[in-house]
Amino acid sequence: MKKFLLISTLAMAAAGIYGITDMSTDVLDGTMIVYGHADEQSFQQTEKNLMPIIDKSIPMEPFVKIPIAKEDSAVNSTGNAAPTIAEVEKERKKERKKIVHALDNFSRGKPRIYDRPSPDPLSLEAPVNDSANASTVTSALPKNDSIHKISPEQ
Amino acid sequence: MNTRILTAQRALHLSVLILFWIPVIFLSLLLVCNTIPYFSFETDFAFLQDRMTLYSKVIWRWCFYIHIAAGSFCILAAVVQFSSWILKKHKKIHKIAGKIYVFVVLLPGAPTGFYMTFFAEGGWAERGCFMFMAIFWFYSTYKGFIAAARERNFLAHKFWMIRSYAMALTAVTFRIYHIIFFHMGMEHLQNYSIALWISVIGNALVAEAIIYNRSKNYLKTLAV
Repeated sequence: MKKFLLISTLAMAAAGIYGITDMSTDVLDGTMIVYGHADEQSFQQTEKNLMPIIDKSIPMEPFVKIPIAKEDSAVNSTGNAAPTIAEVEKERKKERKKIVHALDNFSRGKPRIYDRPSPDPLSLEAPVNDSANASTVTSALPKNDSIHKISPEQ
Repeated sequence: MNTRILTAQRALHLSVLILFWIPVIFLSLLLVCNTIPYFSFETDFAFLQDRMTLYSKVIWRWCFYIHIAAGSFCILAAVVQFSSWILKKHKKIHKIAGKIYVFVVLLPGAPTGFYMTFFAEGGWAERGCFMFMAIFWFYSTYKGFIAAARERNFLAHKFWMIRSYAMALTAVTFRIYHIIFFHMGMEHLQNYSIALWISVIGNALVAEAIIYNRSKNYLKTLAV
């Protein structure tokens, strides 16, 4: 009984310490979400800090691997229709919306992130000189415009 | 005393018990039923969709699943614990269910809840309220267990366990207030804060009122 009480007390203390540490890390990173109670300035700052996390959370790999046809009528080498840019864009927007929905409480009553005219990090029109964006976004387009069938592994 | 008055008193006591326990049992079962779908480990629930950033943390995710499992069990176990029929006729069931309740609250239930309070919805005040709730839930269960197992003070055990159950029941009362305020047209965050504070403070006050009433009766028996 003594051991059990000791273990449970230690578990409670550990939960508190870990919680405080975890929370303070978020506070220091500026990624702590204080639902609905933050002032506009801290809201914008947190949103700015959270954007890289949101972008990281979006699975880019499938889009990077999928070669895209540039026109709706395009077909691949085997004669099957490949996803068009519009389709991939639509899929991408869907994924992004899912992630941004996570911040609904945070941005409740305020303009949502995806409603703002901020530069869209997922836009296909990545800046030419921005190597980071170019590597993740424009790599979705095949360099030689070749169209392939999407394999199930992809 | 007149037998008619006695019968009337008993009838009143019984009706209060029915009026209290039937909604409590029904709402507890409803809460547990609502918890079950989460164990599909899907994320298509509004609660989780709002917390996807938190859900990506492995510890938070594990704490969430452990906490809802432990919480559901505690709410159901406590219903058995407060039955005076079981306490008188089947003491063994009370003992076993009580030990399991204490184990579930002290080890996974309260610590996981305590960790999650740091990331709870609402501002710092709401988080503070959740923290108080988790700590008090742990402390009252701890004291209740010690009172019975070590000190053999069953009156103190009863009182501490009433407090513990009051804290466990905030999950139910919070949802009742939340629904009522929602239908009153209150804004979400305001509704959330008020429902939370009323459920925690209200439950604690109701528990204290019951304890006061019981101890008054107990003191009366000593005075005779």
